[in-house]
Amino acid sequence: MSGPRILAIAAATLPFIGTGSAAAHGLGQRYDLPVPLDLYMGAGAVVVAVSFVVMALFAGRPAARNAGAAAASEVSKPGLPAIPLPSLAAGVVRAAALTFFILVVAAGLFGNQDPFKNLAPVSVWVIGWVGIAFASALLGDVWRVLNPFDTAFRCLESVVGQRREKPWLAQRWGVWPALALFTVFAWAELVWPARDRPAALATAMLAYGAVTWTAMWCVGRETWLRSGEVFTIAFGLLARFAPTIAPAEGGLRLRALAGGLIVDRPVSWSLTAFTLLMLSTVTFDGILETPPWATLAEASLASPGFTGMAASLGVAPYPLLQTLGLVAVPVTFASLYLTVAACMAMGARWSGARTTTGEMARLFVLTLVPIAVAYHLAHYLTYLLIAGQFMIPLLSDPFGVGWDLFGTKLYFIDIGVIDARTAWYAALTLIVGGHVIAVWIAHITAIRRFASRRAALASQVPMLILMVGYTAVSLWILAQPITEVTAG
Amino acid sequence: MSPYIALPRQSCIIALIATLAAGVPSQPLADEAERFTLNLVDGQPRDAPQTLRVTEGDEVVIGWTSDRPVDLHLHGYDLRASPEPGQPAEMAFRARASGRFAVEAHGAGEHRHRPVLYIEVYPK
Repeated sequence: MSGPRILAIAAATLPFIGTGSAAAHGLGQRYDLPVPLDLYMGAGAVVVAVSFVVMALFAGRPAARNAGAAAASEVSKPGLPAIPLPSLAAGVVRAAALTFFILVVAAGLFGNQDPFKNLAPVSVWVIGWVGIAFASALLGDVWRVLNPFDTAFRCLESVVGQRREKPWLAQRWGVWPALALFTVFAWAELVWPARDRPAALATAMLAYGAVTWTAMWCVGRETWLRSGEVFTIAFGLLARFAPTIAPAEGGLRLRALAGGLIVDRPVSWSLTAFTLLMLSTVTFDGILETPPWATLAEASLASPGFTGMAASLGVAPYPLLQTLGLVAVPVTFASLYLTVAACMAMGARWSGARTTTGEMARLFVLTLVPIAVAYHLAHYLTYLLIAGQFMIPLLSDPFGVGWDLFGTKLYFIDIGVIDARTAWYAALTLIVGGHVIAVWIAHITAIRRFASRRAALASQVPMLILMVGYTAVSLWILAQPITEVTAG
Repeated sequence: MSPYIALPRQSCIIALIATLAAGVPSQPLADEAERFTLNLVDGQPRDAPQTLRVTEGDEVVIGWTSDRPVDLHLHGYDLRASPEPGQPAEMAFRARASGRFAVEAHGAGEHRHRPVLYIEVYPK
């Protein structure tokens, strides 16, 4: 039999994969080859080298604050006139997104419960979480029009009248409500054993809707979007990286990549915490597939002490281990970051400037985002291209009951759509690029903040070390052979 | 191993073009046939390493023997084999797609915490 014929037959049987736990066969499957050692080392060397180059470039600039401000305005000022977007287009997109949301929930609740035959899991985890994250980072704040929870509430408001906004609550709360809900979401994304089960997933979507709509009813739609709607905050954070901005007067403006991550004044503690949490969960997601984690999991699952503790708590052991990891990684990352911020403040003070650890932490936290964006894109590019293909047959048969609406039911998933070498180079280019952008915008932020060039550079040395370390962790994860843990 | 360290960006472009060109049917280079035999004892391969490495384009044949009935599933290529005592089974495929693919076992009492085997298909 020829290769393509085998693959076609193989792929055609994909919709009929047998049982076995959804987690083992999960939609989270990736087939990436680990980045080979010479490429990994080469990328690491490039990362360190460009870090020094960027630093040297900034060291050579005139020390005037004006020059720094000018440099910053080149980066963050909108470069081109606004592209007007008719509000009709936005309305159509909103309606389409809400319709799709309803379809996904319906498919989850009433359709075939095999995760590979049901529209819901792929739509939420592949197209939704990974896909919209990609779009937010590359195109801009798309969630603003796609948000079905927002659109549904707007429909409600058109019937019962607008609810009163309470913006002072958003001021008071910051994004702490969104952070609390994000921890639940991160747990669902990384740990929840039922996350690929269509009915459970659809129920969770409705539950989140209920929370959102109740909150919107109480404090106002816009207020809740600014303070507690998880995805508005999360995708909004990623959208700061994108080279577009949607100003209040409408339309779309271009700006320099990552321009939205340079801030005039320190962001709130709640946004700082949210950013650190989000970055940590992205990293933890990668750690879960590495050999050291698998070794830890095997040891824990074989240890009667650990399994006994899990039993006494009434939970399964592997999810317990994952939950512990999900707590440990952000705590570790935040501690590391605050230590670095303290060093940055010290360095600046030794050079004669006045600042605090808190100010450094809150001023520079957003500059780490490009590293996470680059890692996320690198890590999930092939996944999106392969698992995303599931949408094609699923759109013809969203409920898994035998329809063929668009004639694509027997679409052959092509696992060779992107070959390993292309994937390696794309991934490493993204990682190096993200690192360069991060180092660059961190330096610009420092120059804007400190009148003295010495203070700016002194503040950047600890940050540079952190960024190189963070990028090194991303590279290390990409160089690890994907090792699954199938917990019974 | 060729040195890919220098000029990663240009190599990326070349690789991208090469991938697009690969859509055009071309003469295959001398692809090898790789034969492996894996003896499963209690669900784990006894003598073989945990990862098999082949090159893209190879014809791969894996012969499985097992001391108890087990259902094996090769992810990605989506192939199955069910060896039983005294009845070996085979997985045969052309390694058309590069990547790292797990072989997992399902069967009565399977509680392995890792896949049985990984097959890594490296690009040429």
